[in-house]
Amino acid sequence: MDRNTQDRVRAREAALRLLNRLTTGVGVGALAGVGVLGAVSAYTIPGAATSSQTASTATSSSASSTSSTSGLGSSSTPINSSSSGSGVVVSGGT
Amino acid sequence: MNDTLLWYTTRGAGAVSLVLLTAVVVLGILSALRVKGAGWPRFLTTGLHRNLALMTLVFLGLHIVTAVVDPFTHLGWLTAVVPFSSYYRTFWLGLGTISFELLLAIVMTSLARGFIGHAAWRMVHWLTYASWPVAVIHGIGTGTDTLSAWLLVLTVACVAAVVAAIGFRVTAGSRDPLEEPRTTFQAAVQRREPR
Amino acid sequence: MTRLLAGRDLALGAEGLAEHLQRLGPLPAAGPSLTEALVRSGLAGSGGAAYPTGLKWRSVAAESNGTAVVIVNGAEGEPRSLKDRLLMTTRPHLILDGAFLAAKAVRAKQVVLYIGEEHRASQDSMARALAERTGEERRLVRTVSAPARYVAGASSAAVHLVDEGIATPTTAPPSAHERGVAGAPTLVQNVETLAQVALVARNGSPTGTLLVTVAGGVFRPGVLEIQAQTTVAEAVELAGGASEPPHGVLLGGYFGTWVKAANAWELPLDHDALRARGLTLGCGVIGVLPGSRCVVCEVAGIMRYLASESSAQCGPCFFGLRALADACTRIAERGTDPADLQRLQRWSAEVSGRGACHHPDGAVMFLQSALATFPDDFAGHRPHLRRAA
Repeated sequence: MDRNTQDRVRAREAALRLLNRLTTGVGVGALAGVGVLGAVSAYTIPGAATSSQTASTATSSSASSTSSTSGLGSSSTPINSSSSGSGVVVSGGT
Repeated sequence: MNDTLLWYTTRGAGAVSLVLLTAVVVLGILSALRVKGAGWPRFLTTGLHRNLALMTLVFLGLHIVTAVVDPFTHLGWLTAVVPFSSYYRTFWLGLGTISFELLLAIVMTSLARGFIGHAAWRMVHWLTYASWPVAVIHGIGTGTDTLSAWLLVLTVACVAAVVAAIGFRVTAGSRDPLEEPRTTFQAAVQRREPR
Repeated sequence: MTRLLAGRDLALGAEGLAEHLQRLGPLPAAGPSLTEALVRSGLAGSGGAAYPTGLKWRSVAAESNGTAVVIVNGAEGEPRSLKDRLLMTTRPHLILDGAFLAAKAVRAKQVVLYIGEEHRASQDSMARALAERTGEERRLVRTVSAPARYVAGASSAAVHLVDEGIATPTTAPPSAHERGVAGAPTLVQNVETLAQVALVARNGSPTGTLLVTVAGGVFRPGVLEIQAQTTVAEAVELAGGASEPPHGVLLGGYFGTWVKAANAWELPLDHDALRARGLTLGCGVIGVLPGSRCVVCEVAGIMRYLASESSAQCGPCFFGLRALADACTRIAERGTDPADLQRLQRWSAEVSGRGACHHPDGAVMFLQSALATFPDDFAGHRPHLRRAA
């Protein structure tokens, strides 16, 4: 390979490495972002429970949706998993 | 640590998805403008555009899954694919579903570009200009009951970035003297039906 | 001693499968031993770049996990080259043998026949030959027309056409052997290379011959199969001899290098030997420029052609080559202006290495070679009273 080609191949490989680093960086940043923005929303949005309470009263007859979520919800929640129509909700904070 | 964790994750992942999608759109516009610099060849812009598009789908998946799984929202898996089928905030959520499906179509056709050909791929890719604004409106609309400063600031920043990029494309792009000969050449070397 | 073109008279058309098998025996098994035999033989590709075939196979095989793709490059976009067409229309089964051997060796799941859309006879011949093969072989194959443009014959353009539907060349990574068609490692081989492979598999070594196309001022222009190290003089002799004393010879096609006639005759037609002298064999075109034609006008015409064949992916190529071609044409039509000669040097340096693909580099190398080989012609060119045809 002549020098010109070698330089170009090296530049190309350097650019590829930069691409990988940027992608990884954005990925890490995005994961961190989920955490940060999730926490920020926790602080700035009061009464999360009340908003979802108004939501659940409207879904009393959506049997299919509740059956699919019941098994997948967080196991430590104190509320009864079959929330079909009950509209009873316990705030997450303990 | 329970359901509200899911809910905050939904919001966090949703916001991050919007930022990522904005970056993807801007990078797409910059790719079309063939920007390059020292140590930054053109394939870097397109490569980053592709990588971040896939990453967007991942975080969008997280956003959708945590939203559906959350018992508070009473969303079924169906709402992720059938627009306007939720009881909770039907319209705004429906927009989210639409935006997601448009994005899915764009990514799928990009991965299968060899099958469908260049022209079809280009047509579907234009749907980006529908998917992104619908995502923005979904973000504002679905969260209106709890609209807060950070989300507003984030949204404004994203919109500003895309508007600036489009503005740049419209003014600088029309001055690209290679656009016509390039399109002519590409039309001349398209794959015809094989024997 | 085997030859690529051994067998029935070329004028009788394509050799059928039965005759091919009777002459050469059955298709041998492929595997790592074939790849190693290719590496040991030092066989180089016949598409112009002369890349070691065995090493290419090793790279693709290493990346492949059953998903690799083999592209049989029969595009022959070089206008004066005829050898690939000759092989496709007379010995298609040699090519197909090589293709299927390659597919086994790199564990490919598809073989793509990439044949120039304007080469109808070649397309017909390859299709008929394919119909004679086994069902298992036929199922691997897909035929794609290569667009009739100069750059469409480049490996990256072939991969691009099969993968994304347009035949634009590129130098952007990844390279085809790592990620080509549908992200799978892709092996692109010229048809002559694959024909050699078919014979290496049977005989353990290549034929020691190569195909060249003698064009221009000779009495019998056309394709010759010559032994390695044959000189230019011997090849021209086999082509009937020069029709008149020539200016010089263009070796390697439009991306090739020029040699003054007196210096050309003793040159061996061998990639390494020519490379050592700063020349190139390229795709094997030996263009003899007759003395009655004007070097400068010929070069200007070829530069105009190369400029018009730009894929317009980047400024340096589209505008740079056009500027160079225009300057050459001004010298050809109005006579030499020292400013134009300076521009040729300046712009050549600005275009080289800045393209999105190798097209501008090839054109610049052609021009620089012409300027260095015929400096007097370019320095003192005056417009002709009557244009040459």
